[in-house]
Amino acid sequence: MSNTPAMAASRSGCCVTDRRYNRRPPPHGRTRTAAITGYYTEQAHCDAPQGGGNEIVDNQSDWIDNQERVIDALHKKALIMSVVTVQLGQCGNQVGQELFDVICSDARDVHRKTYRTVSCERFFRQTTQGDLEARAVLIDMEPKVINHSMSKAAKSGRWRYGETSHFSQKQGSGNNWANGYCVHGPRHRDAVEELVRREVEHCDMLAGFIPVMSVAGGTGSGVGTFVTQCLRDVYPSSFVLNHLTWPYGTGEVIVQNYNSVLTLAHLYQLSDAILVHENDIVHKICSQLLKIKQISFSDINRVIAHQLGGVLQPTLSTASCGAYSRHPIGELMSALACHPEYKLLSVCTIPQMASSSIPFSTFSWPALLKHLRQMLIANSKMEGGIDWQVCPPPASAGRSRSLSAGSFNTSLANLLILRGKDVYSAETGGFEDSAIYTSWLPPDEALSLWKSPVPFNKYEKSATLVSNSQALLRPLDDMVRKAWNMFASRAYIHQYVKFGISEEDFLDSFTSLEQVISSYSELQVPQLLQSLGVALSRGVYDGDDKVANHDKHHLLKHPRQPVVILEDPK
Amino acid sequence: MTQSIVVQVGQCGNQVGCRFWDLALREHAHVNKRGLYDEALSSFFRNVDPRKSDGGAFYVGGRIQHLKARAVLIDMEEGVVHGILQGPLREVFDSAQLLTDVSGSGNNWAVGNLRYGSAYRDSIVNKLRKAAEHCDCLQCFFLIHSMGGGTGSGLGTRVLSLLEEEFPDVCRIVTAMYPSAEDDVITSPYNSVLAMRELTEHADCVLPVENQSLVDIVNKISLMSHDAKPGSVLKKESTVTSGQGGVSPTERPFDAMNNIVANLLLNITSSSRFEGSLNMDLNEIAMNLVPFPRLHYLVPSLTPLYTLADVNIPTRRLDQMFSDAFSKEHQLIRADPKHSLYLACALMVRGNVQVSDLRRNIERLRPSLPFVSWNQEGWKTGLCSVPPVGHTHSLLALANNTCVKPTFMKLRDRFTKLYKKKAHLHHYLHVDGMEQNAFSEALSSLSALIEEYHHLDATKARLIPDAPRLSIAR
Repeated sequence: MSNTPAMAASRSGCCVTDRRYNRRPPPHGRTRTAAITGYYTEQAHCDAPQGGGNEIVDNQSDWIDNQERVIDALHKKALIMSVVTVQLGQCGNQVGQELFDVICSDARDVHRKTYRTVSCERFFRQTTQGDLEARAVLIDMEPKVINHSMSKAAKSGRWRYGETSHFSQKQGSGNNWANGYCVHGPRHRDAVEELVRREVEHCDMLAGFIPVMSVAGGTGSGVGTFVTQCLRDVYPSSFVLNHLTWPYGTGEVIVQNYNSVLTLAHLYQLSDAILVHENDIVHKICSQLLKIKQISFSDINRVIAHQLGGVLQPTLSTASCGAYSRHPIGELMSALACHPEYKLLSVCTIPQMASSSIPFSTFSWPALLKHLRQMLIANSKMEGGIDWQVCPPPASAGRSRSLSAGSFNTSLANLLILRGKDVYSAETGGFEDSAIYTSWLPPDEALSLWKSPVPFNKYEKSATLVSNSQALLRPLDDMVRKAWNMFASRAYIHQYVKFGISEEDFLDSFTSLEQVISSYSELQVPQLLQSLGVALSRGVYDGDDKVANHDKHHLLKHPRQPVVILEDPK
Repeated sequence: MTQSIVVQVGQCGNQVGCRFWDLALREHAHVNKRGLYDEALSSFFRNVDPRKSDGGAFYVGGRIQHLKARAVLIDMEEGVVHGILQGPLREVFDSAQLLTDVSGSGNNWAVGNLRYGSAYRDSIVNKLRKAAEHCDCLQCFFLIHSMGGGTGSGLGTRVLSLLEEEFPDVCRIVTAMYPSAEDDVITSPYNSVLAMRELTEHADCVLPVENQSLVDIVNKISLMSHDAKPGSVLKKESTVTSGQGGVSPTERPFDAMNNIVANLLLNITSSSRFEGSLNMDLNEIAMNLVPFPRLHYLVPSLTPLYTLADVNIPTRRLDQMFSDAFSKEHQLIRADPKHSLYLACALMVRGNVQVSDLRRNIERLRPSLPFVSWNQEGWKTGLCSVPPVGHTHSLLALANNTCVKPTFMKLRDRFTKLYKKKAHLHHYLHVDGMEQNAFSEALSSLSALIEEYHHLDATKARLIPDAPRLSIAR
């Protein structure tokens, strides 16, 4: 056993050991799972059930206790990696506050000491008085929301934000991405970087960053994009997982589609993966599953926080071999972000119900997973109203799939997270069906499993699925379509030009998102085309072409029609 | 927290402004029970030390010592401003904030804009700068003036262009009072059209308010309070229906009308002053509602106006509030937005209203409201948790709608009627710097504006297909 924690750390290059010499932290572990968890492999394999685990233990509780002891023993030898959350704008600061609240109350509820330690170390630091302070930086261009979130946290009595880990200005970005990205972001760069650096130095080891923001407004989207860019510059080898809240389809902000397009196009170049919640769907969950009559934004944020918590709380993965995995973000990336062209992650969680109904409900893993699987393939991100007609195309007929199978949601990679009782008896075979996935990634690579015997946030059993699939294709396409329609009449463009974003910048963003849309649509289409014996190529968008020197009505008067050329493959 | 400065010009502007300060004080007194000078209060008021002549301002967080309005009062007669200084509101203004002359502008835009505008340029700029220096983050100027008179329209629009010169980055929101068709000022069409050109070119947003609509609303309110149905009670204490309870004890003739405009200003700023689950800052108004720089006329409507309190069916009452905001009776200009074309619409809600109420009502009303093809979902929403005094909730809708076109066309007709005969023209041309082409240029500016609305209206009936998307080569 020559492995010591220090060695483990140096192996993955993640340790901020000597703060005097590390004003700028060294490159952090953008290592893949093997390196991260390599430390455990030699000592832990015998004690922990592997992966799908067939162990049936009569006394579940004893077993968990035993399990906990094993995990505990392992953890004493390892440092736990921490996550720095960056809350941006009104939405980001509200969602972030709810997230920490869920994580803290979940960790408090359970008596599992190790789970609690890992969870707390991951998201909080302890002050000398023993209080928990969130590893978070709060950024907004106006003070009201930050003040509110900070006092709400302090009122909870369980945790709080650091006294000095927030930055606010007096005047908001006015829903203008350009104002946030070109003006406010650069102006406050130093202050924000300093706050982030201080927070990073508090971490023994940094797992990565989670910027939490919306895409509709100005501060979350514009400043958020800029800050993500700064994180990328200063911590080039750390993971950045952006959490985005997508606005209601029908307006919160009229220029939301412009702001979204600009945000997504830029983040696609900067972020390792983008985790998305759509307000419309979360709203539906609140009304149909949680039966809330008058839905407020805190209800919506709580659902988002619950789902995020379900992803980020400690789990055991197949690779972590019996210990809570140390590098939640790294493992999430290695499970899901397998190709730079595909970065959009959606989340769904089951069960979700009014807390008054929980005591009267029983959950079984087969039922939960059956529902969850259908939610995945029929692309309904909430339980209820699932289309049970959708089924994966039969493997043999895969080559003659018809276009009507379009409602089937093809996945690139999925991460299934199970928490609660009897978790090792859960049968997850349904998610290993090759028909769910693209042809170019084998299902055993495409599916990752994380498990934790500790029940999460009141639910005796719960399953969360993070999916890199076509699930976000339609809302993304809608967003781009609406923004493009608006752009065709040049409405609102003058507001962006004022702050330094030109029509060319818009066109670049549109182009890169069309590329993303096209890539995701093709997850299943190539097979189809091959079967038809044709290759499809369409009109080319040429950056130097007319588009670059269009006049105001150019695109209206001379629309470039897509050209479809059918070629013989030979 | 940001601050805003109110610049009130002319008789009408000062009367409206006066009601605004009265109601603003009352609103803050209602919300702020502890007598502390808080962030919300700081947006419109300074807290000064009365013992020091200047510079003795207190910071946010302390006790209220002596509140001074962030305002500049300009009139070319003495009557109204002096009336304010003898009234109960005298405490909130300093003499340094006032600018008056004795002779008035004689209902002549040119006198206000050019003669007084040049004579008082420096002192106006000084007073504006002084007011701005007292703010640590100045976000917005609210300019209030009429369109018909000489001082309001002439000097008011001169102040507007001075604001643009001196404070190019500060948002300029103009509340413009449009004259009724049967206005007693014969030259009001001239003044209005000349002023319109300035508004179109120099303002960020204009909130047009028509005298006649205010008269109609006030009449309807008094009618309802006289023969109220049994079971329904008119709320007496609401700020909309009465000025009672404020600082001014008695009501003057225009007070009821001016109250409505003052409420418009209170509601538009509520979300930037108070907390809410969906803030809507002042700089978001222009960002969301002005798709093209010149088309920045936002039709306001306020609900509830006719506060019939039927407490038994709260949800229906809430939904009714949303429906009312789109009815003709609640618009502050005489227009019918439902049968014109929406370019964008903002709903600024105050009180105990949640996002689900908002969504439900938007979904319900959307089918009946025509929106321009490229902005089918052109809704901007704000939720402020503090309701107006005497209400549980309220709604201000701001619509960028082509329904302003008829108002502008009527104005143009009245202008051309006079202009064809060159009637009263010599009064204007007497003034130094005023030339006849100012009239033709103002007219063509207005015609161009009407034409732009017309073009948009023309798209209404047609089904516009989606713009062809960029395609990606494989």
